[in-house]
Amino acid sequence: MTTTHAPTAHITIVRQKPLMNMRQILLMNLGFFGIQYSFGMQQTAVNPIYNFLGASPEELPLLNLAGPVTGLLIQPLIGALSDRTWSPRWGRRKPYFIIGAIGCSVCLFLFPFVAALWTAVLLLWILDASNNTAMEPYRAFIADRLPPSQLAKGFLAQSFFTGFGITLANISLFVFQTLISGATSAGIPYWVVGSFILGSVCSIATVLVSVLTTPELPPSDEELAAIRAKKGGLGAAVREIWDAIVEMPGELRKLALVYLFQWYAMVCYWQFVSLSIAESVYGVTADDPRYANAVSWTGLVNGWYNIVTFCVAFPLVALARRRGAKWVHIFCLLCAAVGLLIFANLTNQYLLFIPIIGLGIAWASIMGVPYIMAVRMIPSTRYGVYMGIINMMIVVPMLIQTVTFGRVFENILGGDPTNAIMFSGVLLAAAAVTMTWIKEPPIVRDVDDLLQMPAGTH
Amino acid sequence: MAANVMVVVERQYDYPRPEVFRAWTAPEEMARWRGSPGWHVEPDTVTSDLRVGGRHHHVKVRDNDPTTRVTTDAVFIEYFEPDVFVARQRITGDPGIDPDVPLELRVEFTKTGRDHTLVRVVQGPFEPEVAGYHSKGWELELDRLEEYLARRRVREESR
Repeated sequence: MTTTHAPTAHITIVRQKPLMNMRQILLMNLGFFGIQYSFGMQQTAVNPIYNFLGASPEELPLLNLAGPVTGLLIQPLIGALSDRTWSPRWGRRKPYFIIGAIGCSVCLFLFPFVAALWTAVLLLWILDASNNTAMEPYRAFIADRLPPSQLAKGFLAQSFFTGFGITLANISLFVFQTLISGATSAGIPYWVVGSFILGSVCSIATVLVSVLTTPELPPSDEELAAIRAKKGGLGAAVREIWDAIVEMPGELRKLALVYLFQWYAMVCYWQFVSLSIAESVYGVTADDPRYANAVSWTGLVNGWYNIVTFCVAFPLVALARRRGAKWVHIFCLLCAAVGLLIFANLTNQYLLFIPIIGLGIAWASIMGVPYIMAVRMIPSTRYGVYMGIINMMIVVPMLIQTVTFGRVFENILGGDPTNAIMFSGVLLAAAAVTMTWIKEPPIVRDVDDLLQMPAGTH
Repeated sequence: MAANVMVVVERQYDYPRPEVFRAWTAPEEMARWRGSPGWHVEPDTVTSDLRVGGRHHHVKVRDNDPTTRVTTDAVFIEYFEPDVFVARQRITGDPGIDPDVPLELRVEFTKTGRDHTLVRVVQGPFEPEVAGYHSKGWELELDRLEEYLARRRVREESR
């Protein structure tokens, strides 16, 4: 018996991607610096503002719910919408990160002037939504713009600016504290106000530099016709997200498991590092007045690992090119795993800066290297929606951690913060082991390297 | 003008990866569809040692003028069936390509959906003014691949 085969008609997507030099790649990614500065302010300065406005410690997790919820909902939606966007004047991804950057800028400007807790919470939701709106299409923009041989440079430039942005956000708080005195009527110190206003300027200015210096590549007539033929609207975007999940390449599904371990681990680290330092170095708990010293020292430790992040981001490009993104990521995760196991057991506050280098290396890799692999597994017409789905792989482990870790901490880790840090190390090692399960598309060499190799001869 | 443009062409095929990979690499199969409309590959000229370091050779000829010939000589620098192959090419006889400047051809085969294949062709670097011509060429060639795969499927199903 014979069957009639009627394959779906697919269009051919054709792109011409000019190779970019390092200056162009850095300019294209500069906006990521502003966006990450905004995230840095959010991580470091928003909770103290809640405290200034009278929030109690047990309310803080709920007040911070905006982060995971907006990440879960907004990024895939924006991704799906940007995949079906094209304007000859504004481009495909740029409208979203311009809108996001404007939102970030306005929220950061207003944040230190809030006088009531509810307005601060509302602003955090808008700020988070804006950050996510700006960040998601930015990753797709890199994948749109660069040929495969330059993707490693593009994504690790984003890691570089991640470390740089977060570090400068923290440094600005430290520097302004020594230079500016006084406080607003709501009790928010002017040095906090200064840092937020600097963030407000950075987020919009850096995105504008990127937008103005880096044109988007226009779609071909066939691709444009396909974009126009797609039905618009929220329902269609949700349907597209669902289809993308159903059709997700198997290797990308495996990456979700790696992400579960590594992001669960990172959240554990962020939540418990100050308590761990308080216990191991200062021999105190959060109830003790000397806990403030541990918090302050944690700021320095975290600032240091972000410095490591932007220092190692570009060397990782060369390593990824030579050894493959998969093995580089495994190596980096193992550096962090070993580092955290040692970190949790140190009693000298200065020695903490040595093992945390491992986490800085892994953080650079986490923010860049998996994307090098992921974009080679998915069609370029769906970069936006898949970048959003990859972000769901980040946010869902965060939510799982929020729900489960309390019990794990009490029942398995004995309520000991240093055990929580060692647990993070073990999870990062588990992520490294899971990573070996992924079959990476073979290494893409840089075109410059290829020119050194022999070609076919007659 | 410097050669600094990479051409990236993608298309999904409703056929499993091994079938599509074979159509690209097996000499007797690639000779049946490679070449833009108006051109064909001379089957007798195709030799391919399908392994890393293996050499590949084929000649494309204009249908209406057999004296117009474009020769491709290549070395496979990556070969992972059915995931990807990368060939470093020297193309002679094409007025838009400098035979002394080697090109890279990278063809990736990614499984999508149940058993379909996303083919991504990356070739270059080309000079900007000829990149459009080669993009169009690939677009037409990939249409021919679709037709070839459909014909082959019908042939196999009718057996």
